[in-house]
Formats: sequence, C-alpha cells, structure tokens
Amino acid sequence: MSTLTDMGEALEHGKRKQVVQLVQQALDEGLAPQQILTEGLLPGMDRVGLKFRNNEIFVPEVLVAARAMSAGTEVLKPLLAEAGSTSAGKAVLGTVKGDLHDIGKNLVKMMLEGKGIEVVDLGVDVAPETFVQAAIDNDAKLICCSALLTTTMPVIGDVVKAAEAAGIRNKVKIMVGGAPLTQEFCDSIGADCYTPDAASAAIRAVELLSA
Amino acid sequence: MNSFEKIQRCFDLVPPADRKDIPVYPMMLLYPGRVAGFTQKEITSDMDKWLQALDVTFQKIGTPDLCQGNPPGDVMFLQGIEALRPGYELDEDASYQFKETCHMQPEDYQDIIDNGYLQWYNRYLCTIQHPPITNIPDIGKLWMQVGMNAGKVGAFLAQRGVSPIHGTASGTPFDTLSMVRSFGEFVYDLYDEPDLVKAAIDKGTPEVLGQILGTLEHSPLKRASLYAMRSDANSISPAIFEEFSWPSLKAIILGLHEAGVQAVLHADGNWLPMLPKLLELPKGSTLVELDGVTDIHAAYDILKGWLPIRGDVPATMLAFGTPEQVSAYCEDLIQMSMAKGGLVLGSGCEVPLNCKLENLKAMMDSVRA
Ligand code: B12
Repeated sequence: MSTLTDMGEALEHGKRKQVVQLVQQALDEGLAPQQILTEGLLPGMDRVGLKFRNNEIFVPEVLVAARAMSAGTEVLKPLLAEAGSTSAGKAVLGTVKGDLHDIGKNLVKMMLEGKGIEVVDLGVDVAPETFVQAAIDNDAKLICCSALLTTTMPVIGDVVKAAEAAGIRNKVKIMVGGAPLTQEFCDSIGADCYTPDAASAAIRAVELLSA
Repeated sequence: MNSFEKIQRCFDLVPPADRKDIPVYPMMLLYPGRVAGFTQKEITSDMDKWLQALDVTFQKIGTPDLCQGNPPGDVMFLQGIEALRPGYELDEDASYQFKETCHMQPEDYQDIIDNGYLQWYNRYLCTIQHPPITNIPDIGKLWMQVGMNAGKVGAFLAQRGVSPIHGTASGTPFDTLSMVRSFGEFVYDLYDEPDLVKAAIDKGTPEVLGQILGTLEHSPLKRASLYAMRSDANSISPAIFEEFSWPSLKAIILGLHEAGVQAVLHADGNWLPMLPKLLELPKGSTLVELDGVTDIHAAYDILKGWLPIRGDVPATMLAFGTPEQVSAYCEDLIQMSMAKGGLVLGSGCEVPLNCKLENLKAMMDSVRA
C-alpha cells in the first residue's frame, strides 16, 4: 500500500523519475497495472486538480505533475493494453479554428487524463468538421472546445451546428471553455457544459461520460 | 490640463480634481484599421495608413491622452514572437497572430551565459523575420527603422496633443525566454535546470536595461514599456515569480528609475498574487497595465498611493457588451480612483478587432462628456 501512497505523493510534487521507479516497484511487488493506475497515479493527479482549483498550486506545478503522471502511465500502457482494461471514456479536444492558444487546452487534456479519460488531442486551429469527424472516427462521446479570443468564440457555435448536421448531436456532449467564455455564452450556442477551469472540466467530463 | 500633464500627475499619484483630469488610453493598434476601412494588411505593412486610420478613429471617438508608440508592424517586431501576417499566411483583414513555437534549445542557455543575451536574442530574431535574415548584423537596420518610425509616430501624436505610451519597449529576460523556448518546455527547464535558467536571466538583465537606456538616449520621451507576459499567476506561481522573474524585473525598473525613465509594466493575466512585491519599487516609478483578468479593485487597494495602474475595460465587454455596460464599468473605475488618483482609464490590453465603436465611444465619453 505504501508504494502506491508514495507514488501519489511523488506525482503531486512532479517527481518524474521517482514516479517511474515506484511504478516499477509496485509491479515488482505484484500489483496489477490497473490497480497501480487507479490507486496510485490517478488519486495523486486528483489531488493536484483539487489544489489547482482551490488556487493552492499554479500551472507549472500542474504541468510537472502531469509530466510525472505521463511517465508513470508510459510504463503501464503496454501492460494495461495486454490486460484489456477499459478507460473512463473517450473525448476529442482542441482549440477552435483561428485560435492558436493551447496552454489552457493542454491543461484540460492533462486533467481529463488524470481522471482516466482517453483524450484525442486535435491541437489548435481545428475546424468544426474536424472535431465532428474525429468524434465519429474515435467513437468519442465528448467534444471539448477551447477558445481564447472573442473573435473565435463563435466558432464553437459552428461545432455544435456541425455535430447537428452530421447527425451525431444526440450522441455527443459538447463541453466548452477558455478565458472569455461564460455559462451564458455556452447556453446561447446550445453547448452542454461550460467550466471556468480545467479541474472542474475533468469532474464534469466524468459525469457527462457516465450519464 | 493637457494630456502630458494629466499623465505626469497620474504617475505622481495626485488625485484628479475632476474626472476630465483622468488620462484615457484605449490601446488601439489594429482596431483603427476597421474604423477607417483599411485592411489589416494595409495597416501592418504601411505605417502612413495606420496614422491615417488613427486620425479617422480620433475624429469618431475623440482624442485619447495616450496612444501606442509604434505602428503595428513594429509592435510585431518588438514583441519578438513568430507571427502569422495578414495578407500572407492569413486573410488580408485578419489580425496578425503570434504563434508560439519552440525556437530555443537547452544549450542556448549556456550560450547566453558565455556569450551574452542580446547576441543570442538578435540571432533568434533574425530567424523569425520574413524572410529570415541570414547576415546577422542586418538586424541592426531593422532596429534603427523601428526607432525612426517611433520618432515619426511621436511627432504625429504630439501634433494632436497625444502622448505615446512609451519611447521604447522590451521584453524582460524571464518572459522572453519563456516565449522563445515555449511555455511548457520553459516550465520544465525551471524544474530541471533552475541554475542554468537563472544564470541566463542574470546575464540578460543588465543587457536589456542597457539596450533600453541606449534607445531612449535619442528619444524625447523617457518612458519604456516592459512586456512581462509570462510572469502572472496564470502562467507561474508566486514562488517562481519571486525566485526567477522578480529579481530581474525589479533590477530593470530600478535601473530605469535611476536614469529618470518611467516604466510601463504590461501585466497581462492574473497579477494579484504578485502585486505586493511591486511595492518594493520606488513610488510613482511604474504604470501597471492590467488586462481585465486581475481583479482591479483588489489591485488598486494594494497599489494605491504608490503605483498608478491602467485598466481595464475587458475585451469581451468591448466586443459583446453595450455602451451602458461600458459606461457603468468605467464609472466604477472612476469612482474607485477619484480620492487617491493613479488611474489611467484603459482597455484591458488591446481593443479587440470586433469592438463596437459605440462601446469605445462610451469609454472615452466617461471622462470627457
Ligand atoms: C499566452 C497568450 C498568448 C500566447 C499563446 C501561447 C499558447 N501556446 O497558447 C501567444 C503569444 C501566442 C498569444 C497570441 C495571441 N493572443 Co493571446 N494571450 C495569451 C494570454 C496572456 C494567456 C492565455 C493563457 O494561456 N492563459 C493560461 C491558461 C491556463 O488559461 P486559459 O487558457 O484561460 O485556460 C483555463 C480555462 O479557461 C479553462 N479552459 C481552457 N480551455 C478550455 C476548454 C474546455 C473544454 C474547458 C471546459 C475549459 C477550458 O481551463 C484552463 C485552466 O484552468 C491571454 C491573456 C489572458 N489573460 O487570458 C492572451 C489573450 C487571450 N490573447 C489575446 C490576443 C489578442 C492574442 C493575439 C491576437 C495577439 C496578436 N495580435 O498576435 C494572438 C492570437 C493568436 C491566435 N490566433 O490565437 C487577447 C484576446 C482578446 C480578444 N480579442 O478576445 C488576450 C485575452 C490578451 C488581452 N487581454 O488582450 N497569446
């Protein structure tokens, strides 16, 4: 048990090498890869999310914690695939067309992954049709759109319309965010969910995917 | 009272006798193109068109007290970030767009430490020009052109009774390194190679200060903007600020102050946790420009009576709000600052391209009508 506790703690402090070492140690102790993920790495990332949401830690701490988490999951990935374990769901994520801001979007990705959600990252400057096609191709139930410019906010509305046009609107949830967005705006374009920060985004994503 | 006097009194934290004494500064680099019917390509490639566009805009909204001191093309150069340009990589009437990509390797920190910060920075700048400059000394010609253009803008504005916001502008070493290395990589460097990063910043600090002072020697306006776009709490923690960014920022501002130069700290993002540190600066030395993300009442409470602030009608309100909302927002800022002074009524960073003219007019009228 203490290996997993130590692992979560090392992750929280962004200690990448130590996390990898502890993951290996847990495997050597005979723990199942899935257990290492759900009881070691993910709770660590959860605490990071919580602290971030409470303004106790800042973006850099999240970045290094997420880097440590990736290093740990890298070790587990082949083993998890072998064991055929399932993820908490799939999401496609991107910054909308005309917009190149990706720091917030990347944080959202890390936080979703921290909840065990599989994320298909479409990058920046993503066209509405690309979001929709990626959701279809990957069988993702969640589309996450980020926009940081007042001039690109309306593109999120186009993503909603593109999902309708493609006939998948009732199969996907659309979640939106980025500094200039508001709940009001989210409602006005007919998206499903807005959150002001990445940690809340992850919590809501889990709810939306299990609904 | 003329604009120059208003601004000086604002730096000196003299309470305004009347709201008309509050300097107003809508930061309009690109927006005037829209007002005057020029494309973004036209105003970024031809400074005379930009100046014409300013005139048209001033006629419609009234003359502000402060204005950008460099034309759009030169702001792109001074910010030192790779940019997509209207009419080339983008539509003719799109805003130019900075694009952050990693242009620096970990070895470059050592190069800076061994051979100097500005030689590295100028070499980097060469690589992001269109087309890239291969003969490095040629970048000097661009610097000179930027200086000459600033002189021309200054003369144009002075004829209209408007002060440029600065005589020159520069990124601070911490923030420039973060941009050039790109945000994520730089954050990892702060954790993986803290001493190397710190030594590179230390090397850059006096060089950047020297460059600013050198440029201002020939400028009648002894005021310099510092772009500290990566030192806010959305980007870094207060602990990182204190350890890596603040010592250099403070040294530059103190150096400017000693030389009789006012600083304009362009503080995008959430600066609230960082603001108490600014009280270590000499009184009235620095105008702190807030962009609508920092809680401006809380900021004013911390800085009042010590440093002036500019802010902060948010871009979202200018684009999507109503004149009544803008007037109410401005009225609140005016009421906040009448007793202790130190407010430049401004837009939160840039006036967005899709700003409604009547909203901008409402902002101007709040201290004019
Ligand atoms: C960093 C930055 C840049 C960097 C981007 C680097 C990068 N790789 O992302 C660079 C320098 C390249 C840049 C360029 C530009 N920028 Co910029 N930029 C910023 C800045 C300073 C910070 C943004 C940021 O990263 N914040 C930190 C992150 C963590 O916060 P966040 O993105 O809001 O994300 C959080 C939440 O919103 C949420 N979230 C985000 N996405 C999502 C998605 C979902 C689904 C959910 C649920 C939640 C969620 O979670 C995140 C974490 O909690 C802001 C200022 C500001 N105060 O926001 C301006 C700002 C956004 N930029 C602005 C402008 C104008 C530009 C440019 C047009 C400037 C120019 N002329 O070149 C270009 C546009 C380029 C383009 N086409 O996109 C303006 C926008 C104003 C407007 N019109 O709306 C701002 C507001 C600055 C200002 N006050 O004027 N910029």
